[in-house]
Parts: sequence; C-alpha cells; structure tokens
Amino acid sequence: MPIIVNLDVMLAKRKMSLTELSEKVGITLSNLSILKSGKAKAIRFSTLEAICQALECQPADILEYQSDT
Amino acid sequence: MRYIINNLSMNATSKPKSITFINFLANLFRIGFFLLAFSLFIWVIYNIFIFFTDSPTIHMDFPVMFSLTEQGLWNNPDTSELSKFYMQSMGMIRAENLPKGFLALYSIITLFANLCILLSMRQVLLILESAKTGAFLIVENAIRLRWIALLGIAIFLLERTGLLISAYFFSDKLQVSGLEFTSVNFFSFFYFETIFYALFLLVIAEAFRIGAELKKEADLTI
Repeated sequence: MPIIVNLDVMLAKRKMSLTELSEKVGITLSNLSILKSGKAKAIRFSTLEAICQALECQPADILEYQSDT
Repeated sequence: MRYIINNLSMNATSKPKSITFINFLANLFRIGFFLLAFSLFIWVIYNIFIFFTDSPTIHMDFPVMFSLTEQGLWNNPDTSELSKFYMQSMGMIRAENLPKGFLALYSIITLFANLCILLSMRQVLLILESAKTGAFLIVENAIRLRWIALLGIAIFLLERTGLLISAYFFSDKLQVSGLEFTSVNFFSFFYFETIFYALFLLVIAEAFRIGAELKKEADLTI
C-alpha cells in the first residue's frame, strides 16, 4: 500500500513507548500495533486526532504517501 | 478532551454470550454425520459382497414410474356426474437377480449422492465449530456455504439421474396388470425447487462473503 505509517518514527522522536501512547489515546495496544505495522486498512479521523494530540504533531508527520512506481 | 475509542465490538474473535443452541446443532449434525457414515460404510461392504457373490439383490429400493392403463372415474359433486381421471405415480420396488451392471451403476450413483450429503454435513459442522469460537462471519464460512449449495445441486442431479436410469431400466421389464410402467412421467420433474433452494444458498453465500470481507476491513480500521 503506498500509504506509509510513520508512527514508530514519531514515537522515537517523542521518546514515547507504544504502551504509553495506548494509555493516552485510549486505543488498545493490539490496534496500535496493527496501525504501526501498516496492516491497518483505514484510520478514523478521531483516532488520528487523538494520536496527533498525544504526540503533538500533524497528521502528515504520521502518514506519508509513497508512489508504487 | 478524552478520547475513548472502543474497537472491542469489532473484534473478530469476540465470544457470543450463549453457544448452547450452536452446541445443540453441532451435536445433532455430528450424530447424523456418524450415523450416515457408518450406515454408508456397512452398505458399501454389503454391496461389494453382493456384487462378488450371487446373493439376492433385494436389499435395495429402486424407483419406478407408472400410470394406470385405464382411465378412472370420479364423482363430480357439482354436476353429480362421473368424470374421467388419469393417474401417474412413482413407487419403489425390490427385485431379485438384477443384472450386475445395472446394480453397480445405480449403487455408484447412490454412493456418490450419499458422499455429497456427508460432505455437506461436514461443511455445516465446520461452520458450527467456527461459530463456537466466535469467528462466524469469516470468508471461509462463505466458501463452505457455497460448497453446501454446490453439493446440494450435485445431490439433486445424482438422485434425479438414478431415478431416470432406474425408471428407464424397469419401464419395459415390469408386468403388473392395470399398470403401465414408463421411464418419464410427472414425477421426473418433481422437487425441482431443490435447485432453487441451492441457488438461493449460493446467493446467501455470496452475500456472506461480501459481509465477511467488509467486517475484515472494519476490523482493520483503527
């Protein structure tokens, strides 16, 4: 999929663990892992908003488009 | 602002509250499966024994079609007159010393039809087993439903072929006064709705597959 999730990069920048983020945004650890590993098919605006607020970043810092070609 | 995002309801492996009915159905199908498998095994052994020895062949019922050679009369209550009627029917016969070729052909058709029934029951059992674990709406179950529908069509075609072969074989060989045996009559085209039930199940299976894929996608929506 050409959409890349850079959640691990942002977590490293903020020196935050996935468990901490999970507690802050109220999403289960397994769902965050699905998102981090790029297995997720879609992301809700509410989830994105919660993650952006917790990591103090923009949606573009988490999601990136990379062309297949 | 506190965000509570609950994805638990979309968890594919969430257990249903009560699986008593599913357990009951699973046990029912399991008993039916083993009874049919056991009886089919005995039937196959017995048929092999019959085939290689000259034992009587009265262990099997063969369908035949017949009609009355003469028209009957019925009392019409509207006119108080006698009106004509014609009768067509289907019956089963047992006969001794049947040709082994015919016996083998009919036995193979019956065997395949019963194997299809067993496979259908196995698919139903697998669906119920998956329902027990809570993962009911999955693509695998849609494929199983599709198989059940296809096996249903196969069972119908096999039984119909057996019926036609048997009726055709006996049509010019049976002699009973007042009855005329035929290879085809009204009953040859009876129970055709089975095909429509199977086709309806195919539609359900396709809808189930689409639903399962949508659920899979929803489960992966964070």
